Amino acid sequence: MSKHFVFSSSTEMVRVPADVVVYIVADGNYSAIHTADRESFVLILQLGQIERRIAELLDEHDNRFIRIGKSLIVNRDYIAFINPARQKMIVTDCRTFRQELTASKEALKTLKELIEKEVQK
Amino acid sequence: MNCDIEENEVRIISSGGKEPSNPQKSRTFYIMLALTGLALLCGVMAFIAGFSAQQEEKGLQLQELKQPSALTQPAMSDKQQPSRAYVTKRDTVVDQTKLIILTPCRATPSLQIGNELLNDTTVLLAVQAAGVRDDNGKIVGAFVVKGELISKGEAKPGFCSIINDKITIGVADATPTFEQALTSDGYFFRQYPLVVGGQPVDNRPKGRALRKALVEMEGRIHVVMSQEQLTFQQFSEALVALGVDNAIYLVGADAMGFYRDRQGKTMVFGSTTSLKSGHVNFLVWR
Repeated sequence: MSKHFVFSSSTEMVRVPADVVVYIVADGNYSAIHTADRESFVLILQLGQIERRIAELLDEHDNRFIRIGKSLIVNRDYIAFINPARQKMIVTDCRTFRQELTASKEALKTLKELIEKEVQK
Repeated sequence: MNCDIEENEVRIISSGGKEPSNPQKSRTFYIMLALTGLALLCGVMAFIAGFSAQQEEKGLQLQELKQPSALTQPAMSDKQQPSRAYVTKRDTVVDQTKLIILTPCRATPSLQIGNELLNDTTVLLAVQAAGVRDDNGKIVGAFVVKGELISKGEAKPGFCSIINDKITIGVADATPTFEQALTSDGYFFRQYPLVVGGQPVDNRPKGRALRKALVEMEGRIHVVMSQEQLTFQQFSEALVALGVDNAIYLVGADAMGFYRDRQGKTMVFGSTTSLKSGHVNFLVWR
């Protein structure tokens, strides 16, 4: 059975399969979860709280989700393109959606090296 | 898990508690960090030198206003002054709509015309109330300040009256609270109604903008602000979802206002370009 992320507040609950979470972006006291159907859910949680929750829910060997800097968590299964010099990353399912994200050059360089190392293993 | 993270860091999230797979921090990183620190310092100094009114086109931004120490209201605990008025701020999300709720507590409401509020340390919360006409700069609809009629007309069916420090929100073409405001040194203004008896009101304006409302919810008065651009309909529906009983509109978009938090910090929203009109008017709590 596919794992679900569940985030609850006093007014709402968001429950989404981990597989379809593409990226989560911080916006002050809020965070927005973007899913593969091109929809998004806004939560009144800071990104650090969401990161902790994801860590609680994931299996020990599940390393899909990567925190990038202070503002972004991305599911590496959807990363298709990284260009650190242009501070550009593209996430896509190569079928229905494609989204461009930005992060710092250093962070993207680190991410690129991380993914390349793991491919070489 | 250590959740502190730098902007240039990358970290795999896992329950195994793995630390980041970061390479050694390079000299480039420290140079970038120093340059970033310097840029931030310059930005803060520019901000202190003069408060600029740039409003981001999309989201509501709250900016702390740095004031000379003589004008700063010191933070005092309730033990020192138990009856002291204050404002609480709460962020919330309803139906995926981000809202800020400001609640004045033990504070006295009034209406005020003019834009000299920022330096008035007795003001805890100020939001622009009635609209001002673009053509002649006059206040839209009936407007009463301390029993004095400043402007006439119905214009919009929603109203707010302040009689003996009590705020009443309603919808009516003619309301006895208008006469009461005139005869009892009260206050009165008109605006679009948004929610009546827990139901959204259909309004004519169809555009999207940052929205603000004066609301009555669970017997208390609050100011609710949207964090993103909404239509009137979307805002009204969000207020209903929040549990608001009655609400009228307050001037939105880049209308400037502010509140002072319990630590004595002044948080400003909106743009000073909204203060150009001589008849800019505020709903104020002290």
